[in-house]
Amino acid sequence: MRRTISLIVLGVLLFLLPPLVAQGREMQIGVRVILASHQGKGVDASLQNIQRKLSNLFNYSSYRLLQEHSFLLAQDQTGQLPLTEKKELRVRLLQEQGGTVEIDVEILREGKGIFKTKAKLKKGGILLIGGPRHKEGVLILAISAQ
Amino acid sequence: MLGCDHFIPRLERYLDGELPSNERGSVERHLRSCPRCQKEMEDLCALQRLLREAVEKGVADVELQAVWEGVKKRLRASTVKRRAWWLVRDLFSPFRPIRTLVWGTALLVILLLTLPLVTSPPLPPVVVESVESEDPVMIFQGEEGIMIIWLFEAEDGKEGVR
Repeated sequence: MRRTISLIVLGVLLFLLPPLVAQGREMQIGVRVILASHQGKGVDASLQNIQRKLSNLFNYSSYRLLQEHSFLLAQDQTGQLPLTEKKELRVRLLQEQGGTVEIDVEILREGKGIFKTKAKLKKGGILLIGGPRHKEGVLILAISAQ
Repeated sequence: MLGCDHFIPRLERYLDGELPSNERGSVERHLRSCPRCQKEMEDLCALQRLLREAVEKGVADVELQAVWEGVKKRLRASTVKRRAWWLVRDLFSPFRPIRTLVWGTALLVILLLTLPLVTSPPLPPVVVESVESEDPVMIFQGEEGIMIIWLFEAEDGKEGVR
C-alpha cells in the first residue's frame, strides 16, 4: 500500500514539476524599435529580414531601426526601455509555459500609461505594436520571444 | 464402512498403479462386493483402452513437436489474459475500498491533467489577450505569425527629436 501511494505521489510530482522548474527560467524578449515614415525611402539593412513583411503590412516609404534591445526576464520581472524623450516601454514576463511566453507590454508617456496589452508569444511569433507618434512618422515595436 | 463416494475418486489412480499398497487392498475388497464401482471400473478401463488405441494409431501421423508448440502458445496466451484480469480485479476490488479509492483518484488526476493537453487546439504564434488604451486601437492578424496592434495616438502625442 505504501509503495502504491509513493508511486502516485511520484506521478503527480512528475506532472507538476516541469511547470515549477519553468517558473525559475529566464526568457529572452527581443524588442526592435522602428521608425516608419514617408520621409525618404528605403529600409535599414538591419531590417532586411522583415522588410517584406513591413512592406506588405504598411505603406510607409521608409523604415529605420532606431534601437534594438533584448530583455532577459524571469517571471514577474519587468524590463524598461526609453523609446523617445517622453515615451517609455515596459515589458513584464508573466509566465512561460511549454515554449510560450505570456507578457504584459505597456507604453507610457511622461510616466502615464497610454497603452497596455497582454499577449502570448511562441518562439518565431512577432507582436507588432505600431502607431505611437515620433518626429514625422510613427514607431513600430517588433516584440518577439527568443 | 466406507462407501462408493470414497472409492470412486481412487479408481483411476488404482488403475494407473498410483495407490499405496494399503489402499489398493481396500479398493480391491470393495470392488469385489460393489457392482456400482465395478461398472465404474469397467468404464475407466474402456476409456483407457480407447485412448491408448487412439494414441497408438495417431502418434505415427502427428508431429508431436508442432502439437506441443501449439499447446504451449495457448497456455501462455491464457496465462497473460488471466494475469491482466487479476490485476484489474485486484486494483478495483470492492473488498479493498482504500486501494480502489487511491487508484481511482490517481487516474482522475492524471485524466484531468492530460485532457487539456490532448483536447486543446495548438495556439497560434501570437495571441493578444487584452488591450487597454485611451486612444483607438485596431488589432489585426498579419502573415506568418505576426499580430499587429495599431494605436491611433492623438496629435498631441507627437514628439520632436530626442
